[in-house]
Amino acid sequence: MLNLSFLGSNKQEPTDFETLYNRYGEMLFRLCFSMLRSREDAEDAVQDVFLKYFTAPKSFNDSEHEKAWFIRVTSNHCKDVMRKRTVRSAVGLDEIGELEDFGVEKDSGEVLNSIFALPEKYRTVFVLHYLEQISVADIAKSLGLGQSAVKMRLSRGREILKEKLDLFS
Amino acid sequence: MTDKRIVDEYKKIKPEPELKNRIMCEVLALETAKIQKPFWLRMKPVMSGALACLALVLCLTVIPFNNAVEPSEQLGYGAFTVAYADGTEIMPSGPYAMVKMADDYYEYQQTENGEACAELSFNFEGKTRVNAEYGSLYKKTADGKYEPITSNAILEGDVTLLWELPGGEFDEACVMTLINRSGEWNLGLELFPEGYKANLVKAE
Repeated sequence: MLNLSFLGSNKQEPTDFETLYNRYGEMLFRLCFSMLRSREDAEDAVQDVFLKYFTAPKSFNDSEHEKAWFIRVTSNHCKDVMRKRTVRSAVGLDEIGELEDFGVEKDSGEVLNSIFALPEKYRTVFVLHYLEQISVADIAKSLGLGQSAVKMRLSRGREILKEKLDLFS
Repeated sequence: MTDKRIVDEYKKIKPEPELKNRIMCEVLALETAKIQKPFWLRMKPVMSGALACLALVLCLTVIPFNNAVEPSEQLGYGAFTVAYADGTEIMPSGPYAMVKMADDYYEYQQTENGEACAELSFNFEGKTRVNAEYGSLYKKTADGKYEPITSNAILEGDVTLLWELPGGEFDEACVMTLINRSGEWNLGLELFPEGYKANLVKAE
């Protein structure tokens, strides 16, 4: 039987795909953009992650389990994309996505650019905790790290940012 | 604490509205491809279901209950331990030590694919499903060689695995899932030039 639930019923009720996209789409895009620094690459990455889900649908115990899966798969997918970039060619400065294109204010944009310039392993946990406001425990579960490792990376990320900005305590 | 203004500005980073429709079309194409199978393939689930019902009836009526056919794959309930190449046990959610890569497989790493890898020893009490989301897994054989194992392989007893990570670079936060009937665990691995360290957490 053809499962069209992801398209939505005639009553326009939330669908599997629609529910998932509404729940995670923007968060995953922001995470991808912070890692890939390109709107197009970030959109492609989000698409790939959702297709990965629908190619082999998973069953989750709860919404936290589901969220952890999406975050982990997105993070690892972006790393694969970045690795391929390193092998083929570096992203030119004129290809890096500009935050002004999203309507971000200049002052805040400078702060965000500094965060996005952090080394990858600090940047991911930093974005997830301080910007997406996900708890250390949930980040640890999502990324398969210990909580102490997450806290250490947050601490080191703050130290690096302190050298550039005087905002984080 | 992060300035709320920074968070609000960050939340302005959004995809184009068309992205949702674009993905929806791809998912639709995926679903359509799944159903465009030859008639006999579409009927396969129906026939399989009918045969399964027949088998169940036979099991209940013809074969005594205590001699019923058991599923070929029966995951165990038992605990398991994971250790580094030097035998240091990886404690669940506990502190983990930096371990240098063993010299004996570093040569393998260079001569075979040149990928970054880690060797871990497992002791499974009962059958356990093992899957690495990224990278490749190899099982060390009695003669010291490494043979590839498939994703979601079922393993039992003492097993030494080589986990080869993609990209040829040291990476981190690669996760291996270990599942048996007592639950699901995530083994996260971090690699550094001087060694690697792992962390074991319950997935649920």
